[in-house]
Amino acid sequence: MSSNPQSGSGPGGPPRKGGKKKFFVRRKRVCKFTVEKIGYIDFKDVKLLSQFVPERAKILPRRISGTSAFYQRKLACAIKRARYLAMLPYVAD
Amino acid sequence: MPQERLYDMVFLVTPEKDEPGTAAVIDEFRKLLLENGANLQKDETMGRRRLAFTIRKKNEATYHNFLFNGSGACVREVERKMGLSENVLRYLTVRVDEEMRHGQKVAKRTKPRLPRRTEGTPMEAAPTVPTAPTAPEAPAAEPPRE
Repeated sequence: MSSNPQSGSGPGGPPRKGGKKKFFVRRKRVCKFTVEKIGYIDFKDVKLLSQFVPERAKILPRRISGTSAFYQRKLACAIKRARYLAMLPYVAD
Repeated sequence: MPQERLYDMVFLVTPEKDEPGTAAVIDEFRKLLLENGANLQKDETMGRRRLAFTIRKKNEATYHNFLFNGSGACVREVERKMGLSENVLRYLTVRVDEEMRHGQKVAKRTKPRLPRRTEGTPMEAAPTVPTAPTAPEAPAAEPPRE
């Protein structure tokens, strides 16, 4: 999607000479479940699930967390089960 | 013979019960499970916890978990009794055999799956695998913006 072919730097690349735009190194997002080989997401594991439920109590989208589509579906299901059992909130207080 | 499945059951016992009272409630359901032919694999009290929201004007409850092999009829009967009981605030039973099997398979996998080509990673960085003979040119390394 790079419009300027002369810029020569993508996101996370070296800064342009004299350019005002600042770049930062984009950290590569990885799927926690694939990396740590968590095959089964337990709905009782509040500590794990709460990593994907920020303060607002919404499920963290995978575009931010980097979770793979397969595990995002499992994760959403586990979070909803934990909510039913009042382990996690539906809405922030 | 009915088919046996692995079920994960969690239920919340009212905080109005003291410790022996809670144990009695749990014992009642344990007995009921065993009477209905369940084979308990895990029987664990997860302790008294604060609820994320109030249920029937209660702010805390004792969580208990049963993991058992049993039939659907067994689950139906125990859930029916839990629904009738005033001491159980909430219950949830989930069939877990297939997902746990998948989990074990993933845990056993030693070789990590090859990462999909992502933004900014050139093709030659990934280990070469004899797949498609000609890979198309890498698209511009820019994630879609909203």
